[in-house]
Amino acid sequence: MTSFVEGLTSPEMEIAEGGVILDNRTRFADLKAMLDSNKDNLKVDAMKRIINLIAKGKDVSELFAAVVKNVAAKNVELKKLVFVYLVRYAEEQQDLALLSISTFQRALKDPNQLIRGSALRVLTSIRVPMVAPIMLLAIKDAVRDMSPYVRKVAAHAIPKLYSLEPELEPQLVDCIDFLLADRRSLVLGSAVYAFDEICPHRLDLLHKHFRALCRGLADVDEWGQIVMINMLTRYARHELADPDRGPPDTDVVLLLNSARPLLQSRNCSVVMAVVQLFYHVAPKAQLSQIARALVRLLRGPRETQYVVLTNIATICERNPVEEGTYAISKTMFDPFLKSFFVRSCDSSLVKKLKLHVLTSLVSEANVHIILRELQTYVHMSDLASPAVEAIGRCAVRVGAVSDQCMTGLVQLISSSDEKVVCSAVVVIKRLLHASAPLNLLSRLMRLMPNMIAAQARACVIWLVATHVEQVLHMAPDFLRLIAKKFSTENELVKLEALKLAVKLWLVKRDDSEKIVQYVFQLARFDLSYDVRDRCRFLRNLMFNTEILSQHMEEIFMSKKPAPELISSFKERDKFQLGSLSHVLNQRCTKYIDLPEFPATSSDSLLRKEAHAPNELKLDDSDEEEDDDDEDEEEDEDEEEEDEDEEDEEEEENESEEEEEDDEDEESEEESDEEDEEEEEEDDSEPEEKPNPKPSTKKQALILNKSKPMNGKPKTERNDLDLLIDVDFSAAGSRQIMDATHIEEKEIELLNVIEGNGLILSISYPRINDGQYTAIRFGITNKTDGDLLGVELKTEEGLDVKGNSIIGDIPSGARVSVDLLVDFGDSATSREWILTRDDGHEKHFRFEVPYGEQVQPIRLSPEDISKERSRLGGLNRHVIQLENPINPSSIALFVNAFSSDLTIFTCQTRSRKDVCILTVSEKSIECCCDNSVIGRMLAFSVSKNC
Amino acid sequence: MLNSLFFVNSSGDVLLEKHWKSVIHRSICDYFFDIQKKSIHPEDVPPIISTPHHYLINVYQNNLFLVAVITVETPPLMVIEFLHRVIQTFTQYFDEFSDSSMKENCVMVFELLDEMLDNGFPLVTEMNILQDLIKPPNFLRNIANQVTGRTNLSETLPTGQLSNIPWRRQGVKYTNNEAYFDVIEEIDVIVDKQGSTVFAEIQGYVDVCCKLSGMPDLTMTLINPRLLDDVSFHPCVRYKRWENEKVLSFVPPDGNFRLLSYHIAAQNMVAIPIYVRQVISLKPNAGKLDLTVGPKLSMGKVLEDVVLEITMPKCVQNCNLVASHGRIAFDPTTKLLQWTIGKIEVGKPSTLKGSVAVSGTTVAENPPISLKFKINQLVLSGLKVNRLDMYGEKYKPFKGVKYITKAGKFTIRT
Repeated sequence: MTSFVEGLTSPEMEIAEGGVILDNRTRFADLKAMLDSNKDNLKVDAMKRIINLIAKGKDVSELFAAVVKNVAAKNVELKKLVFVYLVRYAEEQQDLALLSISTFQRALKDPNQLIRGSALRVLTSIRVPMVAPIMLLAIKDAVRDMSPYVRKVAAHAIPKLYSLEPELEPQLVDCIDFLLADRRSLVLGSAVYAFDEICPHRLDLLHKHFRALCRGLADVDEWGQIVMINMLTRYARHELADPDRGPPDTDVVLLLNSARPLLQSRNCSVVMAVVQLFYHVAPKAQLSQIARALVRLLRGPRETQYVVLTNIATICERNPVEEGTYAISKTMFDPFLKSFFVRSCDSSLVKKLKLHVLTSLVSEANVHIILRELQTYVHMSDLASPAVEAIGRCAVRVGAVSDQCMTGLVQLISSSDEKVVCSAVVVIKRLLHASAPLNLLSRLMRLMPNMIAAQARACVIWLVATHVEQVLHMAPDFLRLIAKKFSTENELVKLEALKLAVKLWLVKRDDSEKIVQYVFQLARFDLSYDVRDRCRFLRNLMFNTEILSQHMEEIFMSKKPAPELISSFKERDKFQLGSLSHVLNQRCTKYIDLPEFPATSSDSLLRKEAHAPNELKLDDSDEEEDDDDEDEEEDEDEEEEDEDEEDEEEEENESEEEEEDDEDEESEEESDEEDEEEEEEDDSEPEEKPNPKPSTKKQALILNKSKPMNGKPKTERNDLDLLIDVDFSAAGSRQIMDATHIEEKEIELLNVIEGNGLILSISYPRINDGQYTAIRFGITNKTDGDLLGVELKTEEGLDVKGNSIIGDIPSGARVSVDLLVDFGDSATSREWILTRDDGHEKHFRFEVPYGEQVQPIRLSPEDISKERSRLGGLNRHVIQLENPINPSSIALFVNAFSSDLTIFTCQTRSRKDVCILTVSEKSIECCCDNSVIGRMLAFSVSKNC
Repeated sequence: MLNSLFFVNSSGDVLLEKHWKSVIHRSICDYFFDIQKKSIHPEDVPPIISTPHHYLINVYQNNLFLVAVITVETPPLMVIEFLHRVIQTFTQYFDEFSDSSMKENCVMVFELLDEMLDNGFPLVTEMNILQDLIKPPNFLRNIANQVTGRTNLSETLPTGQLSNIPWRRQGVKYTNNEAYFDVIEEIDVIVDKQGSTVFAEIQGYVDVCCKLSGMPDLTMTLINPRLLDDVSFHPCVRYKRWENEKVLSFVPPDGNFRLLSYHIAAQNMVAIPIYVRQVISLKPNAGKLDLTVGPKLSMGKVLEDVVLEITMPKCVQNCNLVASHGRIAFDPTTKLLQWTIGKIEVGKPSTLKGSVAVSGTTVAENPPISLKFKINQLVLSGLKVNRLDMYGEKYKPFKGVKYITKAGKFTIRT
């Protein structure tokens, strides 16, 4: 108990108040004692204090041993705090850190996905190179984990391991390649992040995932979206042709269409990513869309404004005079001109950037608005000189107003604000470089005595010197005035005065000889080295060498070209928009240049997905129409899928037989899910209502009747679209496929006599829907009268989805109904009951062959060989054939996928057991997790084909 | 992405440091301090600073800088956005983001940061999931924890991360089910000397306080959805549905969140509900100030919480002013003149008159006036919620919608 009291009273206060008063040994002894105690709350207390010290940057590494002992603690909080400590100090205490590894290895096998995930996360965060092989194994396992959460954590772990051990790159790239094929959006974002960190140049890996990534973009989390869009931009620039030259590639269109809605994201970085995608990849005509989004971002905090404005400035600066592009940058931001007006509350960086953007947007049409605005800014103390410069830029950009600007600028010279005067003169100097009207020059010369700022004075003298021929009669007198105060002038002014003296000497020697010599004399004994130096240089040039002084005129009176306005934003254009390098205008570490568009797109077959859900209707507007329904259904499906996972997890639990609480939790979750599902069903009810309207009963029936025939392909397709995204495949490597063959032939179960006037037949539409097997019942009314209230019932305990109430069947009509049944991988025959209102009840039984209870999947060749080697012994059945069979007819009996007609792959719908059928001339081999199913399938193939 | 993060206060102390990759010594902050010292105003510190081996990205809020250290090319906005998300999270957890609240909750801040990033890349930023992982502190729970020895760390494992609606916590239960929607519009205006509007735009938000049990699925229809042509949504909003039907359909997160924000640009002329007539002259020894503030387009609503602020130039020594309504305060060190008017009734403009003591010899430039006000039960754009339906749950929730217009960046040039 004493240690507890100590823990509460001793050092905490002193530390909190800033100074470390107690010496380290006693303090740590105290913490050690707390950590060694057997009370959890004492330990937690100690850990909290330790974390506090870490946060403040204090070194507590010597407690490592005492802390790591607690790594296997039961208490969740203690465990988490220990993890935090471990990750921080493991690098410094490598040997001791190894002690903790076994705990994580154990946790990696935990049945609970969250525990597996967090164990992997901490294990890979420990920066101890010795553990790298263990990490690699853990990651390799985790990328094939059935929980998407664990797969996500695995994706995050890949860059961590890479930074620890870059030699492992090939193995890690394999893992990334595998993760990129993942169907879950939860995983995709992180997979792309790993890709970007490790192998950003391996764009070839992306070919087959490109379209899936584009489609998945909207569902990925916002941070993943940013990385993903940036990566896809690079991919598009590397692989796809410039859409401005020739018709755009369908893949470019797909990419842009999937990214466009994200301009509406609340995350400004996502918006920026889409903007740069459009800027770098989209056809020029589509650029206008991004302006509005960018302007919206200007409402953000000052940091966001700063970055966004820098980017806008670059866009505006992109050759504004060049034909074509000019129109774009102009029309893009023109409607938002006023958004760039400066507010008094903007930070000074933002103000300057806004000014810059304003001046680059200037055109004949808006120059007056902008000039008026700029004139207001001249009166704002912190913006005065940038505003004056901006006026100068306007004058250069729009020739029509240059006179007006000039008058304004000259007026500003008489301003009381020193800074304004100074920048006004500097700007005027730049504008008058090429030619200066006499009146302006003389006005400047008159104002000169009132100017105080040295820079301004120097500029005026420079102007007079440059255009000395125009003011010949005034120049000597001007020099005289300067000479009067020469000794008090600034160095800058003195140098300019010397220059003027030289020029006068050249053009008007007779009038100014005395004054020039006087100035040179003054300069010769000046305090400044530079002035004396310059004076000696000029004197020697002018008076002492015959040869050079002959060429004086050429040296001093040559014409100079006017300086060009080059803004720093123009050169930023070489960097990708929105990048750090762009903002800093320097090449940052690991910056990757955006490649130029290739002349032609790479072969689009490269990007063909093994299974493309709606490739045929990339831009089809029809698709969007039923999207909402789709959304909802999707939710539903996803939930189902979750359930699937949990099912499987429970299986695991069973096998491991431990941790009761976990099971409890799971069942709780499951009940939650079920609730949700119920809700969803409630939701969907109103949608179904319009169909069986009483008044148009007959019509509805006819519709019903015709639907299965005509409408079938479409609905089926839609279902598939949804399933592709969500269908759960245990290891992620399995890809569920469409059925290659759908048997149209119906099997008659009840004839007219057995069915008492009804004919009932079934067929298998082979729809993929989770663990459910679809059965299509066709019922025909052969009696003379209408039959009312027909209903199909089944024995209890069978999980059936779909509407089994058929309702009324008019005479002669045929109705077909799809029911989804979960048979639980059993071919036992089930009892069904066909009832109707007139009291007739027919019991019948039928069994669904295993060939229909499986669904086709695609496996990579490596996976196939792996699975086959795994499934030996009891799980493998070989039937020797006397006559070779026809492999193409296998699809009639077994719903399996095959790429070469020798190996057929499928999985059972309920338990997702893999099944691989290998057919050769002499034998049939069937490997399946479920040995019964394997044998039955092999048998049915050998018998039927 | 982020290698390290430092919390720096305005006096240049490092409050807290957190590293996600190898430790970067805190001396890296010296580069930042150098620039911070050079800047007159903390807002003038450039957000992105390049040092020989690292890049520092900082965000400033409430006298605190968050300085993130990165070593490789990363989209800067991503870091900035994330840092602001961190600030938002802490504000929700500790009610305020400030020097003292960070010091007080140091351990929890550290834990939160540990959850939010994995290896420097954002992992969990959804408030609902974070709250599942680490319960926010509150007074009652603190006492309960003291007694029972429990902690703020959640004992159960968060399942929210696994769901396909990551923003919503599971198993939410309330005895009173209620959802409040605040439609808030801020108007940004620049008015010139003559009183005509140079620039006006509306920035609107719909903030929601949602306390609904289970998994409610809400649908909100607006009377005039066409107004929202420039809008950004919380990820929960089904975008396709909005595109096609202009209906907002979403499963909301639990608690407070911003459902959408919209922007109505300057072209659609916005009616300004307030006017200010001003005569200001800051001549040496004869400074004068005469202000009148009144409602322009009354619409029957009262202007509330009207505050007028002027940051005077340095040469102003003191102000001797009399106001018809409200309080006047002039701080001679910051030169901030603040006139807190409060309510302005229709037809009763408030006036402020008096003399200003100006030193020096030259006439000072007139400072701009900034204005704050609030109008309840009115949004200038005319946006209106038509109806709000809930699906997926059986109970009847209480629903409320509130409309507020506020001044955003309202500047009057003089």
